[in-house]
Amino acid sequence: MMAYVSRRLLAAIPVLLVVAVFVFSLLRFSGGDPAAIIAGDMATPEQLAAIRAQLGLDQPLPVQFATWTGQLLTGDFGTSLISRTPVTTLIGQRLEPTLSLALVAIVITVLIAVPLGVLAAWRHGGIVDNVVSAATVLGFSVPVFVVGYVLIQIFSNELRWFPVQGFKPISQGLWPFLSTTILPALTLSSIYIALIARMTRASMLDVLNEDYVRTARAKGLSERLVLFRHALRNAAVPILTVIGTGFALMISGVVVTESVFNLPGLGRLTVDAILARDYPVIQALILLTSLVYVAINLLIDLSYAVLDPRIRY
Amino acid sequence: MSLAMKTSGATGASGRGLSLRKLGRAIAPVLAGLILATVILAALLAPWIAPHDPIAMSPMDRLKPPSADFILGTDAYGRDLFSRILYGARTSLVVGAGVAVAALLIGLPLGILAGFFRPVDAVLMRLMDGLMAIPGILLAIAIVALGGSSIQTVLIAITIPEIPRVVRLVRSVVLTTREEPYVEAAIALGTSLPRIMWRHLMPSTFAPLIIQGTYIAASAILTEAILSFLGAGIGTETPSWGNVMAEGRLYFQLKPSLILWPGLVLSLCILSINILGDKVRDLLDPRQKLRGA
Repeated sequence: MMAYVSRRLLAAIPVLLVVAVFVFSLLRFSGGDPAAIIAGDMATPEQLAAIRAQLGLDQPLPVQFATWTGQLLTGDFGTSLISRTPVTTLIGQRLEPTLSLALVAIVITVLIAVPLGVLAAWRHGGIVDNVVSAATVLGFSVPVFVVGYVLIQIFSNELRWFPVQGFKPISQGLWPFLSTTILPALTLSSIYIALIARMTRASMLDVLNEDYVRTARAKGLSERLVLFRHALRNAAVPILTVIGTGFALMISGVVVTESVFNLPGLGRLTVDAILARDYPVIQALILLTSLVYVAINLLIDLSYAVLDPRIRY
Repeated sequence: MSLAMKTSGATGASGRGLSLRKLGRAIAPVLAGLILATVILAALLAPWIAPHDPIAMSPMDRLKPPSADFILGTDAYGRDLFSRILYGARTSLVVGAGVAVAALLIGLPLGILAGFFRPVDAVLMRLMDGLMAIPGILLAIAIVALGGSSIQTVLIAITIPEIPRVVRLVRSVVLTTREEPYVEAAIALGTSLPRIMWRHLMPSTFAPLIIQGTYIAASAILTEAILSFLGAGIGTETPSWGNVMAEGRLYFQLKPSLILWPGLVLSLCILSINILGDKVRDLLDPRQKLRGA
């Protein structure tokens, strides 16, 4: 187990290195000059040169890259060119809306998608199955922001159940928090529900034909126990895998959802930083996202052994 | 990433559900084909059937409700929404087809090389792993923000994140195909390497690539809309479904149809491509269908 974990951690290093080099060179070769952004339009060439020296931009590129990665390893992600705030502080300020959104969306997804997938596989070819199949194709085809605006139109403009936009932290009370989080989370989960319901259905279909399911039924277990205790647990590995590979989908969903609902989260921070060419923030955020991506997929691989004792590392 | 649902063999199902499913399976591709044909026709004929200039602003006609003159009403600059959606079809189809073709053309040779040469494989796959670890949408926004909002930049920005998946697909097909007896026979007969790749390995990748291509096209159209929507897409002088919706955001409370109409057309178009993709897969790869998953 430990050997496996260290092997996987070592394998993550080249991946992250490729990401770092890629992001670094993408920004350096794009032609924009960070010093010009900081100095503004009125700066003299001397001021520009001073800022460039201060940022280390006058150094050769390999030296700049080495300095940057060295700072990263000590936890120093740099300072925003626009707000002059340390990037770590910026990320800390924007973490809560994004985490709330993602967590509530995952809870909604699991609560809706897994039972639907199980039901569709259980009554394979039945009405629920047909509806689930049609709904998953729809879920993949309707863009997240269209779902968001349709939900706003129905629940905020027509029914007036929820505010249209904005975010209230959970410290202001549970209902204000939920009323600003439920619609965005539903929006974000739309594509995830489709993905996971489909995978649950397919995985359950495979498992339901296994001998041990027949044995469980033959010894008189209730159908609910057979489905959820025996079948679902064995069907869980592919479902978890999809949750991991769906993380990229989640990122794009978070970015779009935060824009639709005007949530001050990490997705909005990333888009704003990119549009404003705030290099340190862009570099840090893309690298962190990739790190989280690698970490989530490692955690999921490790959880296989917990779910299925036959799997050993 | 094949996002469209996998169809099942529908074996051992109850009578009514089965017939419903069969009916849906028979009708859906036809409907999808009709919708897609309409979109393609609308895109080709846009200059002749659009009732108004999609770009000309007319301050007198701001945010008009639907009328005989403006079928879907007008936007905040007095431009005809229907005409803008018609011209937007051109952009979306160019992006969908362009990205699919570019990603396949770049990914195919890379995948064949990776599948055939160990050292190339090691380096190339680490590069692809790194590229895949960057969320595609962030990469695309960054490329557009840094490269400018022309349609060429947008095409490049959407193509790059799609390449690793094509390379992986081609590589896996090549890895299994090169063990086939006819390839081993070709190697034993002293056939030149380029000829083996060109004549024996490449054709076996065509069926999976065509299937993957349809899904890439659908996802590219979606990504273009997302980019435009976030303000990192094609400039609004070239209407696209995404930037029509992006402009409608400010007036959503006042006039939801500015977002809902292009959203509906966009969703229908992607839905149709996904359904047709599934159909093509069933035709080209009958094993998938039998697996019932």
